[in-house]
Amino acid sequence: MTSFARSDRSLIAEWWRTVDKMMLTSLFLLMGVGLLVSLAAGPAAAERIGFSDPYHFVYRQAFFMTVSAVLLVGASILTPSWARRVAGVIFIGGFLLMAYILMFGHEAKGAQRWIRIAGSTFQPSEVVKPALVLLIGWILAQRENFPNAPWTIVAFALYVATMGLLLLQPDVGQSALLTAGFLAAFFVSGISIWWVLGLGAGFVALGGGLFALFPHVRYRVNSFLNPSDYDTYQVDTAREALERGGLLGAGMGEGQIKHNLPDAHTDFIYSVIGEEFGLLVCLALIILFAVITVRGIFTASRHPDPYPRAAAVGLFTLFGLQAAINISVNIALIPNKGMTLPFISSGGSSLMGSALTLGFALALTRRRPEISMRRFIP
Amino acid sequence: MKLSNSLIHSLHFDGAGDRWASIRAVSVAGVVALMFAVVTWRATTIALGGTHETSVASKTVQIAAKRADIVDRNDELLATSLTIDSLAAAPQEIWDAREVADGLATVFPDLNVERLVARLQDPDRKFVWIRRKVSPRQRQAVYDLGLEGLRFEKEVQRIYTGGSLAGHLIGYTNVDSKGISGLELAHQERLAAGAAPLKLTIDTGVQFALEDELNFAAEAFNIKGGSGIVLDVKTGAVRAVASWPTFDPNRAGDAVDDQRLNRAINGVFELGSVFKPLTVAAALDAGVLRPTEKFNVARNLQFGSITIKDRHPISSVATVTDILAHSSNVGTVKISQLLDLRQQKEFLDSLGLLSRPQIVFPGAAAPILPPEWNELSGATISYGHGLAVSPLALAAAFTAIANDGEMVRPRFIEPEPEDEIDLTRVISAPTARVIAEMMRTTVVEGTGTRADVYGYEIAGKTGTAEKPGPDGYDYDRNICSFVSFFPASRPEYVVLIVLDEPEAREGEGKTAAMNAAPLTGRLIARIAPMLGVDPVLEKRRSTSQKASGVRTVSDERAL
Repeated sequence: MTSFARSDRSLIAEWWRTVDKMMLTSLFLLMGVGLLVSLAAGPAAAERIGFSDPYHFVYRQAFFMTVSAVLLVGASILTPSWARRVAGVIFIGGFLLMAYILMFGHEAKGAQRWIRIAGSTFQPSEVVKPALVLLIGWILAQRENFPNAPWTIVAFALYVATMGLLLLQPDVGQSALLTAGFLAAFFVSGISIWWVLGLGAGFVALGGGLFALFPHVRYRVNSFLNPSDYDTYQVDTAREALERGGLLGAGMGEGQIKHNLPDAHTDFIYSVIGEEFGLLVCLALIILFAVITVRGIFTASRHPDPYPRAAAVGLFTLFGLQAAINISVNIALIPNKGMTLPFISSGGSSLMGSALTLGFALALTRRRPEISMRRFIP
Repeated sequence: MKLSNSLIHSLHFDGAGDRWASIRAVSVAGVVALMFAVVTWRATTIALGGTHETSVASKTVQIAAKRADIVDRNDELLATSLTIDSLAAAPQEIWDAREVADGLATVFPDLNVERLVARLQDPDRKFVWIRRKVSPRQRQAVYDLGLEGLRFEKEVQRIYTGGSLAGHLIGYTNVDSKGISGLELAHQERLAAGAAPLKLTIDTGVQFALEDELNFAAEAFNIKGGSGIVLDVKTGAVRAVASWPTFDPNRAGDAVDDQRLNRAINGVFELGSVFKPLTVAAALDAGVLRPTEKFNVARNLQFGSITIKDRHPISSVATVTDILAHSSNVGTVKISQLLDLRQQKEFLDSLGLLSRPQIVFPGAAAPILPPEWNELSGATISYGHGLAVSPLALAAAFTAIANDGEMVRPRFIEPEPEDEIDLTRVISAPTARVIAEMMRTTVVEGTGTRADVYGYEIAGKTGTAEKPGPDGYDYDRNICSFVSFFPASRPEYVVLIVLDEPEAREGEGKTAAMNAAPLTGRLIARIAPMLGVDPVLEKRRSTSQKASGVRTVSDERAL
């Protein structure tokens, strides 16, 4: 009983004692890199887009970094059950916003994923994604406590509804990411191996069907496989930037790509880094992302409770895959998806989405008394 | 109690299911780690230059060997090939056709937005051309829009940097970049093979001056057509060759037939009295005429029903020089009658005037010979009627006069130092010098005085030919020409100007003396410095300032 006395201490102290401090340090390191890089890519983007203040994007990024840091810490303070409640509110609110935008977005001239809030645009799907993955982890875990309710169906229904909204926008990249997070959570929550094989076969068949039936899917795949036959300006330019950077980079401020690519400060920020800072910094970034993700999943895997375990694995997968996909696009491994690099790319929605994802994940993987206790049980 | 609950909870889930869950989670981590490993490998190979197969730089190399440029003798660019992008769209990749169309309208203001939206929304279309041949600036602007479903197709475009400058000579290519006219056709294989630029003998500055003077003639004399040639008598290098109306190979499709005709090379004309020095040369060289001989030219000549008379009759006896200087038809016929017809024909043949010119140019026109070479045709040919030749062929023939009797074959490609110059002796050097002197006198005191330019010793001969019409020759419709070379004491260039049906300006006649001659004088005053011809410090004569009416350089310079 005495061990619970420690939970009487202040919220912050409790949080500090239980949170994964190495992970937290890594994340703030990432955000620091993001701020540094916005100094490289921001002025070029401001000039390209036509802002009079060259530091427009730098100030914006600094502001959103601060908001995100608060969001990250705030979310990670939550207990698993509070995280679930907060995620529920965010999901419902975000889902309704997405539906609203779809219905009335046409008036905003094609900008169907964005909503205008206090002078800046906001993309609700960025925060809906982590909230949904967390909820699905919790819902699937309920199967163990209340095996008679149709939890799997509920989880699927939420997933399909959100996917529908994303595909209508359309946002193929986010859909793929959400699917990956969903599958990871589903997989870890103890679904039968036959289900997994069946789902895998289903997705392969779906991909093959899309390729066979729809010319525009075929075009995308072909243009990726045979780039010389198609115009792949963004990807080619990004690649050349990385080549130009070499091992040690062209030097800070010496990059060219940031002046030429429309999305240099967002989707192609990795190429800007590669050009100016070189391969070593690029590899260090990859390692940082990989360590955060793998370490997170390992910590989650040791969690005794099925809900935090499945949900945290799903969230870390979300985070890691987003980084891997973004970098893959930058190095011409996969076709352009329009996805940001977590904590590095410019953009408020993306930053807040990443902060929420990792905040929830940290909250779920904080050391619990149960975990410490378990070690003493023979 | 709480603890025991939690313990039971833990125990419950620490069974087989829990362990499997851990293994599953770790395998998810493994998949993610594998992806990062692949990304690491790929980033490393790219950054260290391992793969280049899709780089933009290598893509341009894949385009078939670039057609060689064409440059002038000073390496000024005349024709080049550019890879040009054409904007296309794949409608099936476009979600919001209006957004795309509105965006593109900011780059192409003349775009028909409604029509484009309709085409982009057409479900049956897989491919839509939006704009062929966009500029690099427009292409970048389209990229900056960041719109979906657009792509650029590469096409090769031949660009003629001088526009219509030397357009007839250079010719043009078809859509497949294959030469189909002019030098583009003549040197198709050499140009298609790529490599070094094809260097022409043309001097852009001289060419421009020639075309400018022809344009001036078009305004001043309302000509139907015109042509001009500037030919280096030592090497045969054609420094300028032009035909009016002009032709812009960049817009070959827009040209009408009249513009397409290269009058200097591909057209033949009865050029008239410019033939007279050749007749005199033939007689002198055959030894049947002495330069000091005199002829009675007061009376017309009768050939059956045909009368040969002079436009400006000389009332008394005339020297050979007088006959040329005042362009006496009667005198020239009398001189030609000293030769037999075979001699006359062989001589003209040796000058290349009776066969297709031996030059590398598509459609170089063969002369039109008289149906029968008899007393009458021999007589008319002696003063340039009854034999139609191309201006280039005539200019080439006069290199023999200017070059001490050796005729040079014209060429359009700048010779390499080791190339042999194709020279043929057709008359003796003394004959050539006598004719040169007579032609110089023609400019100093004969019909060519309006061509005179102080410092360049122009020697020349006017030609005012009557155009053949349905009822024989038409006195009022003339081909006016002026053949010349300079400086007379050591000739370097032959210049020929031919004007088709020039009209008289107010208070002037419409013979070559009034149009082709002053035009030539002005042209030489402009081009001689460009061609590096040193002026001759001759004694200034008051008679050399006769040119009037048209803006003449010699007038303006007479201080």
